Amino acid sequence: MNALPAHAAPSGTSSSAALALAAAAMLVPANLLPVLSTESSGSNRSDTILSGVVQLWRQGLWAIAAIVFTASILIPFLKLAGLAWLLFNAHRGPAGNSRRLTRIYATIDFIGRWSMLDVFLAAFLTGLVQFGEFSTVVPRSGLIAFAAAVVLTVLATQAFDPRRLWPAPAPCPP
Amino acid sequence: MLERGARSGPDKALALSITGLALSVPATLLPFVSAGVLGGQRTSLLFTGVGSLWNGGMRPMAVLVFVCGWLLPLALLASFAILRAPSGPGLEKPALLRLSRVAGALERWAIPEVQVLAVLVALMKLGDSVDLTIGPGFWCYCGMALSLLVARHSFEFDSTVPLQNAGHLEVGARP
Repeated sequence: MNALPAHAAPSGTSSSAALALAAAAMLVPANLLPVLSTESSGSNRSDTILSGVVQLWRQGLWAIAAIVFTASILIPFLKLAGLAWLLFNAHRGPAGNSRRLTRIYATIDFIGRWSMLDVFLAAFLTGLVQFGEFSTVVPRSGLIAFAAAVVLTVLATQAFDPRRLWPAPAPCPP
Repeated sequence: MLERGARSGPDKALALSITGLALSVPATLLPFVSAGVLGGQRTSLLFTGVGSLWNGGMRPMAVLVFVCGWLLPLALLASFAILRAPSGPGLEKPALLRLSRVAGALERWAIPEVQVLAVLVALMKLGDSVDLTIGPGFWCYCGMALSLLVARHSFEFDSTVPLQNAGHLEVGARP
């Protein structure tokens, strides 16, 4: 029987911090390595996440470029920064802003799923655009790093116990 | 948790879950998107991308797309249908509580709506370079994603509590 109050539960920060750290490490190759290659009529073009966004922007597809930039670059970084802030606050102890921090946690939890956009996008294009020498889309290793970063970030959020942001409840009378 | 889990009537959640499950069949079997380039034509199904990733040596990616885009959405819809069935499928209350808790923990991994957005982004990206035709499989998949989106709002999971920390809930919920 666990005699500790909910606030002092052993889980909550260490596993979440480890997963967040691993996610941050995976974001480096995810953003530096190419995620997709397009081979068409003899030419071969490899794109990182950022160069893919830039290409969309140059094509005049600003809204699509903004969606991909938000889902694949902005959200993963914001999510990790937010999680780091929550972990710092949980480590420091409750300081009267528990409600706001819990709201941040709920937001991070909600937006995290949209980071998977690039993974689904690559899977769809890889399946559809297979026209031999005319045009072929091939996934590259950066995609694995990106997917790993997204999965690790979601796991880090899932491992974080938001009760750590709140003061410990008063003990019940016997 | 089950008693206060439903925000709307059980009939609505049940109907949406069954609709979503029914739509998943044509979404899986019917053409998703067809593309033509210089006389060449290719029709993709829901799992074509998964197959290409698998055959291309990216098996973890294929599994991730399959699980998040198809397996878990269906598992979640089936869980909703079981939990909101009026007569119950014969499961004991602890089993239903466990099912509710597992469904709540897996909820964030079932993301068909993200796949729908990804397909729309891909279609915009391809633009005029290929001749595109959206097939009935894609519309059925959109319907399934929408059913899940509305059905999951009929439920109130205690998803902020990690599964391994949820033991106290079970103690509190048992009679």
